[in-house]
Amino acid sequence: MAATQAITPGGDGSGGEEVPPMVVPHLDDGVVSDILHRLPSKDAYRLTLVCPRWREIISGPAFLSRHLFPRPTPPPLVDEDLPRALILQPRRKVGYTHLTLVPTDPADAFHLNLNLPLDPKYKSDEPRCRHKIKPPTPGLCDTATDNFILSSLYSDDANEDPDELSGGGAIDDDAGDGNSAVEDPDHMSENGGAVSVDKAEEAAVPAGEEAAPPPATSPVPDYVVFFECTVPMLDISFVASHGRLLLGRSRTRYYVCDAAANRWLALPPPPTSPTKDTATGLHYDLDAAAGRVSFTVVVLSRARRRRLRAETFSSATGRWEAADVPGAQGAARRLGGVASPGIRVGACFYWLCRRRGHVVRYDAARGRASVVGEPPEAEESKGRAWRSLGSVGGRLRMCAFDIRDEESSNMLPHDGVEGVHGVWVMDAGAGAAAAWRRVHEAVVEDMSTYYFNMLWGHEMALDFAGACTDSIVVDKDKFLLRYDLVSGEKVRLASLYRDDGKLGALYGRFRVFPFYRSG
Amino acid sequence: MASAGSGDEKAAAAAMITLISSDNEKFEVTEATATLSQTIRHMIEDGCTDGGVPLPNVTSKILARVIEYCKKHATAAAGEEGSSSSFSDAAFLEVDRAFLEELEEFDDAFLEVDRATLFDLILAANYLDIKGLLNLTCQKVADSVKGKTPEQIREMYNIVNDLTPEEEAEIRRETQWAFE
Repeated sequence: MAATQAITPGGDGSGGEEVPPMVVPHLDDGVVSDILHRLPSKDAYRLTLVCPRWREIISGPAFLSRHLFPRPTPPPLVDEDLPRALILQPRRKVGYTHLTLVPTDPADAFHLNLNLPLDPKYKSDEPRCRHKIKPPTPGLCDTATDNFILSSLYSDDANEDPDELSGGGAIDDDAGDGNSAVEDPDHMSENGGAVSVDKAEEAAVPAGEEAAPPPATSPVPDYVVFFECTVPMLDISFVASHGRLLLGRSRTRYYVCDAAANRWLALPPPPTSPTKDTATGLHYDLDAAAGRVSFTVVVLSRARRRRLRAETFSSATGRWEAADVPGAQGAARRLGGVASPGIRVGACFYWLCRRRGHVVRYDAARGRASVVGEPPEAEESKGRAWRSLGSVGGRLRMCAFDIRDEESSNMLPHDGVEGVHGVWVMDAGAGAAAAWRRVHEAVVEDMSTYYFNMLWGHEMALDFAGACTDSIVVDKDKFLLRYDLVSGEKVRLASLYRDDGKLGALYGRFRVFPFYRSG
Repeated sequence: MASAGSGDEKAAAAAMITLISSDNEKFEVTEATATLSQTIRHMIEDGCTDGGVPLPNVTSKILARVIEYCKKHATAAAGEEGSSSSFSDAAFLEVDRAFLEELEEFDDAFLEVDRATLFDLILAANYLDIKGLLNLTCQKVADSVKGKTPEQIREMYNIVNDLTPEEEAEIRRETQWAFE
């Protein structure tokens, strides 16, 4: 081929350091893509600036489908795989990213080895990515001691907490910056406040005798970098997940992320900018033989005159396609408050509506939306206190908690309230009349109520895409428990409660996503 | 290749393929070696290798190196019994591990070439469709590109920057985080 011959004279002649002119442009796009998709995400995106051709390659289908392919290929996820940890993300808008990782196995806290944010493990030689707003380093819980090490959200009294013992100086600085960041984030990023924090941290680590773990000698795991650095850097919150991949949303675009490998893809901005009123879903297929991950992102939003609009991004085309969903007024009306991340089962995506009793279904293959009824409440139920939507083994699963109360007319605080856990799966091939099949029911006694709707002791199930069949995770008065549906055993995983209530307040309502990590 | 062993292996070894480089140099290789290249494998399957396989895209210098790689890895593939190129699967016996280490060393040494040769190897691997070699060489380039600024890359590879300042500003705005 002419290309090769054009290069070889240079290569033969010089033989040394001298570079023959225009080497890379002779490589065809496939090969350049093959080189670029191996780079860390940040490096790859920085190279969009090299030339328009490279920029095109990085937003092209070949790059999109290969960049997230896991190396080495992990075994496929199976039904019984419990995620390594749960990613909790507050529903409340707080102006910055805050995440909490909770290991699903209490004994695993050690191996997850994250004790953020007081002693960040991620120290890079290049200037640390600037945190626009300081607090977003994820707060991690140390379940071993059942204590929370968490970011000093709005407080400056962090060092009074005897449990937070590493490097007092760094804490002070962090807290101080936390304050200024919350009040005036722009000011902070301009005057380089983050830089001074970094210096303080570095100084504190060698000096502080109590800085328990010495600076990690082994390389920092990629997932630590992802949660500590990438998430705040991209300024994303998670809106959906499927298997090992997470869908993140920033103010302008979506990101498909592989947290374990700290890799992500920045999708081009969608036709309509991401808003709160959208229902989003992610799905991917992994082709191990070809080394490709093909994925689809679906965004449903309400358009004018009760129309429903579906925007779909596919890694195969590298483009957003928008279309109106015909005859979907019902679904459009209920889309106003989507109460769960999108769950994909078969060819359909499902979202829990904020208004009780309904699930929105979107058939991505046919481009149709419909509304599915929820399973009925338990007998003698006074109301459904909680529900959550997830999937297990290729089926949609719904968990609900219904309340029985003989004294419901009594406004005064009283005991003797009963709750009923219900777990259903939707059988495959169900038509418009959803065939929910109950797989679990259990009564929770000894609940009490304060006035109306103030329940104490009820258990809110936290379901998510790709959960495991024989257990659910429940939030009981800010304690996360892993509830074994077969044995009925409840294992305590973590506490979201803290005396000053700051974390509790932040995590009053939150979403859950699974985090898988091999090894 | 010294894979003299059982009967059918001998038969495979006996079948020799002639590869002809762009500068008309001829290379005799065993079929096992040649079929690491999917392109040649298809040619063999189609039965059009009589009288040699002309490879007008590959110079003799590069072809010699490619064959060197294929020979080494063909022995590896033969020892692995069928499941070729599943290096990630782990669970190898101790003996295999020693051999794999040797293979890794070979690969490292193999990549000690100047940039132009490396790109020629990539082009050849791409054309001949040799997955392992393409992986190896592309990874090598990726490693050398890692952490470089766009300006350094342009300089390294003599790429002309034909972005207008407006476009450049737009890209920087779009992926601001990548430049922080």
